[in-house]
Amino acid sequence: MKLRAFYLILLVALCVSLLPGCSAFAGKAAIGVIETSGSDATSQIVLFDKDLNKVSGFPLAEASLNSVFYDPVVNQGILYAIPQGYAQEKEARKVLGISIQDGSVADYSIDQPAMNSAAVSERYIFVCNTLNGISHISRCDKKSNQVISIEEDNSYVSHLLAKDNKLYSFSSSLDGGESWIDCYDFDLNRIFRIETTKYGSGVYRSCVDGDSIYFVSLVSGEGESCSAVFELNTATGEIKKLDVPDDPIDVELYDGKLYVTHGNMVEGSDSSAVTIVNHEGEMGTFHFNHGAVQTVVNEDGVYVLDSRTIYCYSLDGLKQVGEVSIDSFWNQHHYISGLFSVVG
Amino acid sequence: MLRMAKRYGCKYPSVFLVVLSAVLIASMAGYCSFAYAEDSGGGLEPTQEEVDELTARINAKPIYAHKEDGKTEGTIVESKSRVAYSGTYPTYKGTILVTSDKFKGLVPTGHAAIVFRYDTVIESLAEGVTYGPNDWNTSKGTAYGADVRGTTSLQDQAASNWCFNQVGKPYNYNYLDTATRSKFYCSQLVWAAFKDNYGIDINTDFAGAAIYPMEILDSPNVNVIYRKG
Repeated sequence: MKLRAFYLILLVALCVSLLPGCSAFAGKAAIGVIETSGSDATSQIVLFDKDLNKVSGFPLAEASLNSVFYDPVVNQGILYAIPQGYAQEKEARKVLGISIQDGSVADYSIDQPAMNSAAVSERYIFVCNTLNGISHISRCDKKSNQVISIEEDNSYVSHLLAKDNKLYSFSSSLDGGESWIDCYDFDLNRIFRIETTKYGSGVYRSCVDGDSIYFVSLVSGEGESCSAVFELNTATGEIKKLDVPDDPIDVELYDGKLYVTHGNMVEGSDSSAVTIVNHEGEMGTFHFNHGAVQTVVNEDGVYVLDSRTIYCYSLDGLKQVGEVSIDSFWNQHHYISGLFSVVG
Repeated sequence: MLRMAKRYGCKYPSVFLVVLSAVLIASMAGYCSFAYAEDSGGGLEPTQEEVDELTARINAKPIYAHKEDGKTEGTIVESKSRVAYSGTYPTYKGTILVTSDKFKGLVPTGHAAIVFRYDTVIESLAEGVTYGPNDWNTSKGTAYGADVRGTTSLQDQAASNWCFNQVGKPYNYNYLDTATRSKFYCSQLVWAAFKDNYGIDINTDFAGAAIYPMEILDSPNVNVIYRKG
């Protein structure tokens, strides 16, 4: 009888430990991906340890969850991602807050369709979308779920960033002929606007270092492919240009160094590169025999996402130390729509 | 029927009967609306078999290069390709994008959009005309790019601008009514841009008067410049 009870307890403990999202596994996670579909309301979050071993996965009944154009935001252990819904309808009107620890999900309702970029502060979630030629920036209070919105006419807001109780939106005119950065307080009152037309348009990625916001543009001010990283000093409003090799699509900061990814999010490519820029502005570029759509840098390495494969490189010298191909068990088309570091 | 429900162990027979009746009424309504659509001179929704035949015809078409400036069509780059990716993903303003991806994984509706900038597309959805990232290369299981034959790149860009100028107009749920310009559905918007501005008809008779997104690619007035999936 005692032996039977022992085996029963052992069996239950084994089953519990194998449950997806078990905190024991999630604790080892270093990075994660979002897999989704525009045709089917089936998505999942998959977590990997630093050696790219799968440690956990959380299924979600959502369609079009995130896009490779937007970095999923991790804030205090919560992954924030936007499900747009079925691709032909884009009917979903919410942001998800997904606990990386246990996979629990909070829905934040925001009455806007086809939302794109999200920014998160301790108290608020900010999102944007462009409908009928008007961009909307909305703020949702995480506790009360109260939402306020503002409109920006004839604009396409491509990227939002929350920093030091201010919201920065990177926008362009709908034809791409002009671009600017708006700075708002958290009540969405504009504080200032900086013209950035000569720095290009199509900003989807940025990173922060003290007073500086580094960002990359997909299209240069001349309408060509871009070959620069830009640094906005938020204290002075001054913008500096740092020339880098062609087609920067992502910029990450770690240990005082910039990691600039060169690739092609729009067309895809068979090759890519990462340029490391140190404090003194010295840079070295490392080339890869695979494409790149997104990069994450943390203490464990440089993780580069290409389609359904994650490549891991060492922080210094960018030597490849691992890779994992992410298999899908669905029959419908599913794609990897985002890569994130578990430590936000 | 109430006694039968009770005999076979149904705990709430009256509720069961109400639900059953509702299902029967709903299915009859669906049948009637489909029949109406057929009587109106065109099937609203093609069968899977018809879609498969259409897709096979499109996939057998040659892949063209995107037209050069001043030219009205590009040259053939692949006479008949069956690889997963063929051609160059469209980034030029005015290029048509089409997907055959199924709605909810079941309904072969497909979808159409038009490239507006290198990094953005515009598409007609129920809420209106949305503007978003040009990520069809990643987010779609099948994706096609198409150039209209007989127009220059500048004219294609003007067509894209024309699509954009329809912002604010509501969604057209009557897929058979392609004559209206006060509302649009996705493929009707793209079709109307070239029909109204250049007199080029990129519709076929596949779906009768309606414009099924994938049939645009089957039009003799369209060259396929990209295919994925």
